[in-house]
Order: sequence, then structure tokens, then C-alpha cells
Amino acid sequence: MRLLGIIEKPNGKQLLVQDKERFFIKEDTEKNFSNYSFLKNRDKNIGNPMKKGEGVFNFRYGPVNSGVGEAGIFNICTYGERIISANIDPSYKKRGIEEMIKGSNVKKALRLSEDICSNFAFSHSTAFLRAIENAGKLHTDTTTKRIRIMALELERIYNHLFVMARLSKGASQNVLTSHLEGLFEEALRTNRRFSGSRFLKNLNGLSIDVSRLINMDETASRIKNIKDKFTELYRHSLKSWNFIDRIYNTATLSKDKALDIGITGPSLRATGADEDLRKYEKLYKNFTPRTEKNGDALSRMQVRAAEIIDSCEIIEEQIEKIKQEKQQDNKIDLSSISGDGIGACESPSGLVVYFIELSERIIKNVYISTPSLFGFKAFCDSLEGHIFTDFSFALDSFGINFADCSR
Amino acid sequence: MIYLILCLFVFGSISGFLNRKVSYLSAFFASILSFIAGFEAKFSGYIFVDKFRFLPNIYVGIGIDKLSGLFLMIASISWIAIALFSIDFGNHYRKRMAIFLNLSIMGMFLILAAYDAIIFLAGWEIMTIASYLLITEHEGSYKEAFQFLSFSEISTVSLIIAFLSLFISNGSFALLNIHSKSIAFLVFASLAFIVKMGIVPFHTWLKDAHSKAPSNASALLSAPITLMGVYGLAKIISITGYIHIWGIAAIIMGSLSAFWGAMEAAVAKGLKVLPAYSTVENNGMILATLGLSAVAYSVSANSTLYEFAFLTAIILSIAHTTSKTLLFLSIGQAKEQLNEESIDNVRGIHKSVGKIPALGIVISGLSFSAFPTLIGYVAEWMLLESIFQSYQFHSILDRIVSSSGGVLLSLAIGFASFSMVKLIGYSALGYNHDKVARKIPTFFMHTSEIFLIIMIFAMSFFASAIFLNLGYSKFVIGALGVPNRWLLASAKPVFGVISPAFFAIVMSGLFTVPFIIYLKNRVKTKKVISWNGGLALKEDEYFSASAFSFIIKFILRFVYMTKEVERENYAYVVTNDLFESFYALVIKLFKKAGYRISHFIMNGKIHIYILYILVTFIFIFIYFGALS
Repeated sequence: MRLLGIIEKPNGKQLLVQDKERFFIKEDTEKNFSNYSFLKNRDKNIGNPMKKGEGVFNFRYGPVNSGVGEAGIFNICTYGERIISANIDPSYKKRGIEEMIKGSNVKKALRLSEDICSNFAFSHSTAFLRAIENAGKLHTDTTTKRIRIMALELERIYNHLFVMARLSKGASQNVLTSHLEGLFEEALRTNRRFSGSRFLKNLNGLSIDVSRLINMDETASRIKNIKDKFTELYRHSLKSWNFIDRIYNTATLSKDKALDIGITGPSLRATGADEDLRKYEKLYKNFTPRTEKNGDALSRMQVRAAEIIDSCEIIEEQIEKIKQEKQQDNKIDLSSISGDGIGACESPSGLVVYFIELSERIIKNVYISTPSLFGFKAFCDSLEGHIFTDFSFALDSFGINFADCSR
Repeated sequence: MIYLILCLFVFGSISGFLNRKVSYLSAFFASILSFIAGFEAKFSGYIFVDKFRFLPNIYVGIGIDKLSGLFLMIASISWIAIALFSIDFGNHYRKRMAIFLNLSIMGMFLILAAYDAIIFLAGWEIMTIASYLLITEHEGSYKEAFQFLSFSEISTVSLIIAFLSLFISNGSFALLNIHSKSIAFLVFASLAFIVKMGIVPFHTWLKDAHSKAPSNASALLSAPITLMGVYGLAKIISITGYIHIWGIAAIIMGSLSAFWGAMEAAVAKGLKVLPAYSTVENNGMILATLGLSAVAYSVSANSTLYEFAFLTAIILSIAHTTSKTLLFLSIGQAKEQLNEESIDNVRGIHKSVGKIPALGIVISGLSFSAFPTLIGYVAEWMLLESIFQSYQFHSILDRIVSSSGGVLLSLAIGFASFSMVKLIGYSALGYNHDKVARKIPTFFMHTSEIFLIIMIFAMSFFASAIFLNLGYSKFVIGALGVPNRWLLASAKPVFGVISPAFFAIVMSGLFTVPFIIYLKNRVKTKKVISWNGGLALKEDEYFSASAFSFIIKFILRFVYMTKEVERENYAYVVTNDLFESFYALVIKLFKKAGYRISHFIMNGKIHIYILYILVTFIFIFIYFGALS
């Protein structure tokens, strides 16, 4: 069982828990989850307390520094080059989107969910819609599900390419970086051709009309091209010792530690755990999660690389299926929709989970569990004992960001 | 004049019981007279000798020749500044500090003015014991003072052996105008003086004694007292002449010492530990150049290298004595007013304590970093030029030793700059701590610091005049547009040249004009608090001084024996001086052996006592029987 969040309610706190493919709410009676205390402070401080000692100081990185892409603070406790403790202050990026969703209707809330973090926009909207569907016990047609799978895999491809490009850039692998950035741009253009948005926004819905997607064949062809180019590029990248040395044994996370933190996605799979929500979804045929054993930045990159190729194949397969199937007519009535629901989705960096309380089409309460929250905690833990130059490799390898964490 | 100086020191010592200001002023005037006496001896050919019969065939007395005159001048600069500084500084210590200060300086004066070994030894012991008592003036410094005394007594015992050897060799204790080829004298006298100079592995007392002693005593210990060691070595050379193997040993020990001292200074955290290790480094450089001089002379007396290397040792001594006195006095003022001991805790001296002590730290630190227009620049240029000219050596041994020594000395110069950047950047110029400095009278302290700052600039500007007056006119030329007598040359025929004066004029021209333009066009600017990443820095967010040097501690962890310690919420880095660990082990073994022997002898059993008395009696009986 994994604790994903602590939901504040007028009558007390409840726990959002996952057990394999099952997501449910528990009363806040069990505080045995090791990640309970950090989840309780998720908007204030993530990580480990500062240490004291002669010459020890807080090397504060952020909130506005070159190299820090978003507004957030990395508090790095050090007595020089060595990082002895680290924590994150995500509050500068907090936009209060959860609060804005409360009181909104489903349509408005859907757009807000996409705005939490643009590079996980489709994962957020999918998890949100799945929560709505579960709350209202709504039926979703197969074609819509397949289009969602396609978009999720497209999102995974460009995110993984971005992470790999960042790692390669950190190691000054300029040729590899340029190629990866080229592929990343190609993936974004494919998104645009497929959905009209480079970040797959405004596509998702309770029912997606397939006739909107006029560039299916072009998407298939582009994805095949990305797959071929990436396969060759990745093979070459593994031959660069300068690159591999920088990420091998960097920011290592053991399987037990990863499970204690509650991290999911490629970072968990890189420790050897074969957890992936997709393996429980019927439309993913014979899906096997990609795993590695070492739990270091290299393993995380290897998992992502394998997943890029897998995602390309999944997209090709889904396009074929969509072409063969006829979309069912699925009219959804939201007029009297009420109830509680949990929706989850395997985003590029781990689980995005939405808990929603609906009343007469209006969202009364929402709790969003994001992968970056757990990723930052794992980043802080795995960074200890490393030196400053490992910082970027550690951070980039988790594929996390403040926008996703701080909502 | 010599007796007047001695009387003034004695008066200063006695008046210390009554009025400390009078006592310090007495030391100040005696120091000025010492400088004049040294000047007259060195430049006016005035050689003073006054001796009387102490025992049959043994004469003792006072005597100043050109060599002691030169060192008297160098030491006097430091004495003048320290005595002046102490008028204000001494208010915060007991009256007896003035007595010990007078006695210590008088001891040094006797060393430099000794005609014979007995007066030399008397001066040596007066200096040592008075310095020991000076260190104990700081509360809780008995251990460090005792360590200083232990090393000093090693030095004294070696000196006694050396002088006895000299007596056996020459039949006299006289030190002026004599020659000897006694190997025992050479070895034991060299040992005595390198211990006093704090040459590795005899350097550990410096760090501990300096950090605990009152700052005026630290300046005294670091600059003029170690200068007595340099004087001793120069005296040995004047008595025994240049000896090749001595030169080889001096290059090896000197360069190792310079490297070790600079390396330890680079990671030092203590406000006075860093300058202490810098002393080890500088004295190592001086020893190495004396060694180069000896080797060069042995190879070819026709080469100018041996003279240039000897002159380098003199200029290094001048630079070190002046700059180190200034550094300790400036730091001492800050330490006293802020009541802090670590570099990290005195940030922003320029704001909290004052601009003059901050300037003192900057100028002395830059001088040790060989910054052009300062005397340290001239000294280190000469050092490098001496090393470069070792290509003249023929034998493989000489070449290997000189080039390896050159590498270590060059690394030492690099490390020294690193450590001084740390000291200047974190203490004098660092971000203000908002700490309030204790208000104390500072007029004499500031006067003393300004005097030394001017000396550091002036001695660099007039370096060519110093060369000429010391009798090295062959190293002063005119070329490349620099007028005659203003260009320093490192050899004849010319090998390398610099003109500190010309450089200073050009630099001040290039700097002054833009500075005047800046002042004229200066607009009022808004001053804001320093910020990082969009937020004001908090107290625990300043980059610490030990963090600045962590990378060196980590890369050279096998040398520093670096340990990174983490305990719950506490973390720190520990480095060790290898030699300190060795001494700690020796002390531990001695304690253990002492305990066991005492346990064996004093075990409370009467028959063992009787046995002990009997054995002792028999031993004495046999020994004295054999003697008779």
C-alpha cells in the first residue's frame, strides 16, 4: 500500500491510498506510512532538515537564479563541495489551482487541471476526467480511451526526450544534445499535428471525437521516424564513457527507500520494481513495465529510453486499432452528476491521481497527488553525499518540476 | 648607543611594574635607536666591539658588524611597530606584559649585538623565556606556551652543543670575524636555528602558540623571533663559508617547509593559524634560497647566482618581517575588538572594526600574494629568478634537488595566494556580520599599522636603493626605457628584470586618471542589501571560509588526512597536520612508558625501593670511580 496524499476535510483528515491498481480513501487513523510527515508539509518544505557544524551553511539556490528553470528554492546544506542535506521550498510556484478548481464546473476544472503543469497537461486532464467518470459512474467509449492512450504516450515520448537531452547537456555531450533536442522538437511538432497543441492541451474530454484527428497517418509516420532515429542515437550514447560516468552511481535510490517515499514512474522502475499502472489497463496489449536494478541516474535514463521505444510502438498499435474500430456514440449527461471519485494515470514521471467530490456538476473538493512531489523528496534523499556538480544530473534524472509539485 | 639601548630596555622592563605606557614607549624609543645602530653598522662601516674577560681565555661582550647591523635594522622595523601598537593594545592585558615585551626585544637585541656565544645564548634564553611568559598572558594558553618552550629548549640545547664545538674548534667563544670548519657546529647550530624558524618538521609550536598568544606577542613570535633563526643561519654561513651538502639539505628542507606551510595555510580556519602557517612557508623559502646560494657558490664562485640567492633571502626576510608584523597586528586588533578567533566570524572588518586594520590585512595579504608594487612581489620575483637560474648547475643531484625544490616553491606561491585571498576576502572585505566591535583606544594601533603599510610600499618602490645600499650594485641597471639605477636585474649578464618603481608609476598613472574621472562624474547610487536568487542573504547562507577551501581538503585528502564527520544533525570536516599526529603519538608513547616505569619503580614495595637505591649507588660509585 502506498500513501499518496492527506486530504483535509471539515470533519478531519483522510488518506488517499493506492494498492496496485486500486485507489481508495482511508480514515486518518493509520500514521504508519513513512511518508506521512513529508506529505503533511508538501506545500511548505520537502526534503530533509538542515545540519549544523563548523563551516556548514545553506547554499540557497533559487527562487530566481540562472539554472533554476522555475520559481523554487533548493536549500543545499554544505561545508563546501559536499552536499550533506537538501530540502526544497516549493511555495514560490504555488498558484492555488486546487483552490480554483473547488467551486468550478467540470469544463472549467478540466482546463485548470491542464494548466497545473504544461508538460504533464494530458496526464493531469486524463486523471481528472477519470475521477469525474468514476464519481458519476460514466461510461467512456473505447476510441476515446485509445486516443487518450496515444496522447499519454506522445506526452511520455517528448518528456523522456527532454530529460535525456538535459542529462546529455549536463555532461557537455553537445552532439548528442543537439540530436535529442532536435527529436524533442520533432515530438512537439507531432503533438501539434496530432492535436493542434504542442503540449496536447484542449484535446481531452469525456468523449473525444476521432474525426477531429485528421493527421493520424502523418502522426504514425512521424512516430516511426522518431523511433528509428532515437534507437540509433541511444545506441551511440551508451558508448560515451564521459557521459555514462557522470550518471552512473549518481543519486542512487534503493528500492526500499523508493517505496518508503512513495515515488512512482520511471524512478521507481529504475530500482527494480515493476510497477506501472498501464499494465492493469486492458487496452495496453501485453504491456510489460521496463525496469532496471541500480536505481541511479543512469538506470532512470535507461528506463526512459526503453519507454520511448515502447511508447512509439504503443502509438502505432493504437492508430491501427482506431482505424479498424468505429467510434461508439457516447452521449454524456453531466446535469445531475454527483459523488466522489478517484482518477489516476501513469504520467511520464509517475502517478497523477485526482480525488474529487462532486455535487450537482460543481466540484466541492479536490486533492491532486503529483509525481514531482515524491520526486523532489527522492531527489533530496539521493543527493546527500554527492557534490555540487552532481546536482543537475540528479535533478534532471527524476524528470520533475515545481509547477507539477506545487500546483 | 648600544648601552643606551640596553638601558632603555632595562628601564622599560622595570617601569612596566609602575606604568605600562612608559614601558612600551621605552621599548619604542629603544627600537628606534636599535634601527639607527643597525643603520650605522651596515652603511656607515661602524663596527662596535666591547669585550671583557669573563674567565681565563674567555671573553664576552657586545659587537655589531655589517651582518648583525642589517638584521638589527630589519628586526627594528617590527619592534618599533609592535611597541607602538602595544601602547593601546596592552591596556587590555596585565602590566607585566610590558615587562615581558621589553625583555623579549632586549633578548633579540643581545642576540644581534653579541660578540660571543655566551652573550648570544643569554640573549637567546631571555628572548625565549620572556616570549613564553608573553604567551601565557592569554588565558588558557599554558599548553601552547609549554609547547613553545619545549621546542625552544631543543633549540637552546643544540646551540650549547654547537658553541661548545666551536670552542673546541677555535679555542674561543667569539662569533665576530672567525672561521671554523667544525661539522658539529654546522649541524647543531643549523638545527637550533631551523627549529626557531619553524621549519618542517619543527613547526607545530608556531600554529598553537600564535593562535593562543596575545596578538602583539604573535607578531613578535612570527616576525622578529623567527628572523633570529634566519640571522643565525646567515651567521653560520659567515663562519663556515658555503658548504655544498648544507645547501642541498637546506633546499630540500626549505622547499618542503614552504610547500607544507602554504598547503596548511590554504585550509586553515583560525584567524591566526593561517598567518602562522604562512610563517612556516616564508621561512621555508628563506632557507631554500640560502641553500641555493650555497650550492651556487660551490658550483662556481664566478656566477652571480650565489650572491643573488643570498640577496633574495635578505629581501624575503625584509618582506616577511614587515608584512607579517602588519598582518598579525591588523588581525590582532580585529580579534581583540570582535573577540572572535575564526576567519568566518570576523567578516566585514572594514565596517565593524575600521578601514585601517582592514587595509592592513589587505596590503599584507597582497604582499604575501606577490602583488606588484608591494615588497612581497619583489621578494617572490627574486625567488623565482633564483630557481630559474639553477640551470647553471652541472651535477645531476644539484639539478634534481633545485628543480624539485623549485616545483615545491612554485606550488607554495600558488597556495599562499589562495590562502591570502581567503583571508582578505573573508575577514577584511567580507560581508558585514553586523557585529559590534568593542570600542578601545586605537590611535597608536592605527599609527603602527599605517607605518608598516607605508614601509611595504616604500621598500618595494625603493627596492633598487636597498639593493645598492646593501652592496649589490651589479643587480641594479637601467634598460628598456627605465632610467639607470631603477631596474632590478637577477644576474650579470642580465637574465630577468623588473622595476617595481616604474611599474608603480605606470600603474598609478593608469589607475589615478580613471579614478579622478570617476570621482568627478560620480553620481549618488542607491545602496541595497546583498541578495542572492531574489532574496536577501540570511546569516546561515553566507559561503563559509572553510567551504572555500574544502575542494583542496578533498583533493589532497591523503595529505591532510581529511575526515568528513556526520552525526545526526551535525556535520563538519577535520584535517590534521601529519606532523602533529606524529608528535601526538610520540607524546602518547612517552606518557605510557613514563606511567609504566613509574608504576614499576614506585610500586609501594619496600624491597624494590631498597634494590633501586642499591643499584643507583653502585652505578654512581662505578661511574665516578671510572672518571677519577
